[in-house]
Amino acid sequence: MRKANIDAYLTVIVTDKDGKVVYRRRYKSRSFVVGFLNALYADMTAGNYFFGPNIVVGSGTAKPTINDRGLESQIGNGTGAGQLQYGTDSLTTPVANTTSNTGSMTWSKSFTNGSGGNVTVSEVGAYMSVYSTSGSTTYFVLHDLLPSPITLSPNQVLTVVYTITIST
Amino acid sequence: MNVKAYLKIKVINEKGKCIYYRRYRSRSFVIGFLNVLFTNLTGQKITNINTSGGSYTINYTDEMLVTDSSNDNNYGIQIGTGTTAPSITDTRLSQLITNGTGVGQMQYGGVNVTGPVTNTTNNTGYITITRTFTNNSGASITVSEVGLVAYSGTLGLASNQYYLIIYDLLPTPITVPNGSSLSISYEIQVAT
Repeated sequence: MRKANIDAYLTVIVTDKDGKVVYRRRYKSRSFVVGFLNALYADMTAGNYFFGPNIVVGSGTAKPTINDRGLESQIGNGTGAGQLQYGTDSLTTPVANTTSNTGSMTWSKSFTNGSGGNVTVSEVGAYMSVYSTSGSTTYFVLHDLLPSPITLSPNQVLTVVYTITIST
Repeated sequence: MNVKAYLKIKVINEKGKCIYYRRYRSRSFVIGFLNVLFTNLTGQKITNINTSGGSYTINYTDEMLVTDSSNDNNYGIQIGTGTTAPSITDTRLSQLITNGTGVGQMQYGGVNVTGPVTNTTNNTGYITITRTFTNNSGASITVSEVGLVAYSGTLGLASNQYYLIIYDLLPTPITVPNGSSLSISYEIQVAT
């Protein structure tokens, strides 16, 4: 019998200025970090709720650790040297497959290289926030080092997709 | 690695002696967990099924509260006598053991959640959710299923519903003698 729980898969897709896919890889995401547990704990114990999904990319190369609070070197949003234009986070409605007893949803975001030069992405991560009546807290919940860094040429677009699955 | 859950079960007799202990890999997050996470993160309202079998619309402010008080069987860790194999779309236990001291009932303790514990050597972390059930029914009771139910009703806009997020059928049913207590813990673990 399959041993279930929550898995995440990381898909990275690069498209050129004409929308043609020039690179695509899918990895098993390895790195929920302690922020996910902190967010879950805050939600389960105090009548709070999650909000504010935010996928980020960076140029760091350090191996993720359980206590990471952010990317090693996050790439900024913009069109300056070394920057990428951040799109909007998008999630798909969860789908249950009663044949395989699995459920999944995707969480994605695109990053456009309008910097005029090459930009290399080597790490990916995600934040989410928890609302409480006493204030909101943002948690870093996922951190993955890409097995192979991706260099984006000018006008190329990187799309990062986390597929979160549960199985019964 | 990703997120794993473990189920720890202990039976303590009336003299305080541990007479049974098992630790299993929990197998069964169910779709209600993803549904609420989705609506929280997007604000898009979708449908979920509550533990009464009713359909409702999730609100973006819906919580995942599990810290129920004692003598209440509406949410938190629940136990039952059902034997049906879990399905991804399960929304409640098959045969809930209710709170009380009557025939077939057990007294529900409060739910306790301990904060994350991390181990930087092996890059793991976990939280633990625990509840104790006491059998004062006058006879032995056999427990065969366990679930974790959340409540979304403390904030003004919340939908005020109970919904299932984890469901497990025990590999071996546990008989809890009269006067004994059953302690159940879910340990939710991440590894980096």
